Amino acid sequence: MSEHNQTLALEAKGLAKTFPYGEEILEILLDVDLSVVAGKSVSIRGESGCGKTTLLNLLARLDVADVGELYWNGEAHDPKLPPGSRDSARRAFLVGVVYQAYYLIPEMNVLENVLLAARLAGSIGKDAKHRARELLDRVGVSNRERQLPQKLSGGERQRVAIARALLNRPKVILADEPTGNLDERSAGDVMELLLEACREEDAGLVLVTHNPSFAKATDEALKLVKGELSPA
Amino acid sequence: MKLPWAFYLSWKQLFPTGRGVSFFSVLSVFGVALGVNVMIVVVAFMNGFQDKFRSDIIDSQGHARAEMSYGSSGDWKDDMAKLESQPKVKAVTPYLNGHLLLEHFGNRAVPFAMGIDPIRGDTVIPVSQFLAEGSPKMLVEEASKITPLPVVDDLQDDVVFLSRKAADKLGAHPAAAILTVDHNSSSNRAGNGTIVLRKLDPFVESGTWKIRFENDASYRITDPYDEEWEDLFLVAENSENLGEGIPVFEITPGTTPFAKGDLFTFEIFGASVIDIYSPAMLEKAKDDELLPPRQVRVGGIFEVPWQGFHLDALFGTLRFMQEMNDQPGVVHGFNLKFVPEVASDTQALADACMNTRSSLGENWSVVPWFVENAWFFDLLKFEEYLMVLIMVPIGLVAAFAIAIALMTSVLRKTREIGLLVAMGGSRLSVGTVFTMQGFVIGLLGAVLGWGMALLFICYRDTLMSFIVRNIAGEEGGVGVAQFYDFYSLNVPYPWDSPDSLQNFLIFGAFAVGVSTLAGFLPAWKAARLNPAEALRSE
Repeated sequence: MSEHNQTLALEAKGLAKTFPYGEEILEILLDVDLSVVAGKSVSIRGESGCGKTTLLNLLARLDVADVGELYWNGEAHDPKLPPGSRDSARRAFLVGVVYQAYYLIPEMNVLENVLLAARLAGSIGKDAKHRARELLDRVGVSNRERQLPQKLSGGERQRVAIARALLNRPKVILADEPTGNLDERSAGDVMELLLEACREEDAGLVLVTHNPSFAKATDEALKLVKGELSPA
Repeated sequence: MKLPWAFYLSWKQLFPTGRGVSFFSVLSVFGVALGVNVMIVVVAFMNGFQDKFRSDIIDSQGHARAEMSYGSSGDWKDDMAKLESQPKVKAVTPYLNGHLLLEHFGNRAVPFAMGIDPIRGDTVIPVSQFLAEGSPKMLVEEASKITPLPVVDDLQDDVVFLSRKAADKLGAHPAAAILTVDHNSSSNRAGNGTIVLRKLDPFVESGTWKIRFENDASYRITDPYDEEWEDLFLVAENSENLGEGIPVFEITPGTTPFAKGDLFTFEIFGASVIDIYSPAMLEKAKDDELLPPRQVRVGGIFEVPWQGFHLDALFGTLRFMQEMNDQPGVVHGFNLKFVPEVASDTQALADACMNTRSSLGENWSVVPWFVENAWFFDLLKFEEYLMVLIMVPIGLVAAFAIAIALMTSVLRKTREIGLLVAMGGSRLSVGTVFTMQGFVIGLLGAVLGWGMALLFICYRDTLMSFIVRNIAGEEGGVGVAQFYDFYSLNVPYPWDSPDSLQNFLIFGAFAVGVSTLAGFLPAWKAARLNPAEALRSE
């Protein structure tokens, strides 16, 4: 493994993805290369339907690429294979995901939702609980840890989702329009949190967003046009 | 405790934080519990019925019946001795059957008549127990309280026992008594003395019997025949049998002694005397030999619990039946009881019957009770299978309901399922979440169902009374309860009987298995979801 790779949280080479559409083949991603250094953030903008979420799913190994290579913290993962249990186990440790719709489990309270990430990684214990409380404190919802998600505002729910994504100290944070459902002020707070977390946790952040100012706040701003990434 | 996350999440989805338990969980668990409860209770009751019928049949005819092709004649005592010498045979009693015409004040009945040996017979056919079951229902309630139960010893050549139905048809009754005067100076105080009628044989005449105390230690009796006071009797000599036709009184002094002048008067109603005609007498009448009816007294009323036994029935002595049938020295067969280790095992009993028959000869048949009544038990078994056959689809419908509810849950949680995979959950674990929910519902339902079944078994009399009364009404309820004998059913707890334990385990396992399968279908669907598509779903 090269010295260059060791500093990379995420590296994708030549990722391509097509979808059959009737008799046609839609080319969504063409030869996408992406590198994110640990502690740095990259934003991806693009029109609706241009393939941003598809790219994020390929980076998270939730979808299957036609061709390409993928590295999480220097570990090679074949993006052409369907998601398998080996990937699942590594994903729990290396990748944190944040979505626009939060996806908190309604039957569990805030603390339990955050700790679910540790349970999925098989590392629930006192340390995990301590870390979860620390993160809830950091994202500003420590006073709501016994509340059910339904009782929280949108901004608070997204903070909880970020805390959950960070719990296992992932090397890669993938955020798909995390501020899409939030008002301006909450959106700003959440962005600040994500960028701060990326720096403090020494993780690489890939942020998909429509918001130009949030994109500018990242270390590298890219745009996805016709299946290809280019500087914004 | 470190639960695998799939177990933890399935538990949380069934029993969410803050709400304790979800509505779906309550309904599902309760549905499974009801199914388990009903299946266990129905089979337990059916087994209870079978046990009861088995014991009632054995009581009414012994473990087997041995008969000779043309009846046993003068040497029947030799035959009985041969039977008694069989190694596995515990008791033998001869019988002679027939039908007789009974008449009492213009009322007639033609009961099945069975001549038995009153003393030997009780070891095989417990007539004394049947007499207790048929304790007289007197028109005067007071009579029921003080009239003693008849005993097998009362059965003599001029005394018969009638089944309740035959007695009701004839309007006949055994001897009865009421206490008409109780001038007891020791009454109204704790520990007062009592006088109990200990025995009232069938030859006691109707009339008034008086007991008068001379002091705390002695009393006199006057009988209805001469109305003279007899000699002095001592309280210490109570229960003295003064002879046939005289009631036996038992004096209990109590803590407060009787005093001079204490007087007790009993009104006694003698046993009914009935006229009996037999087919043999009618045959003789054809030859112009007109015989008067045989007059016998009713010594007691009996009830045989086995519904298959003749409702119109009469027990007389063997000699009485031989005389009525004009078949001196003849018996029709023998009722046999075997030793317990043979009696408790049908195969061993069948083998013992075969061996007994072999040693007696070709013209004998020895038929065990379960062969003679096979039709009835086949019917009961069929009813039991039918009940289970009806209940299993009900259980499957409950399973479908659980599967549909879990499937709905999968659809509702599609994006959550996608997230779980995105967070590192394997497809197998995601599937386990829903399979576990089915398993937990089944397990909790089975445990709750066991609890409900135990409660039902424990309080079966109260519950059955309530159900029967509300379905059949007060009067109908009495009939239903009497016919099925709910109150005397032996329905064992699982810790008392391996069969009962087996039922609990089988139906519990069935519930867990079916519920787990019900969870498996949605689990399979959830596990097959493409996480990227699941996250995008609306």
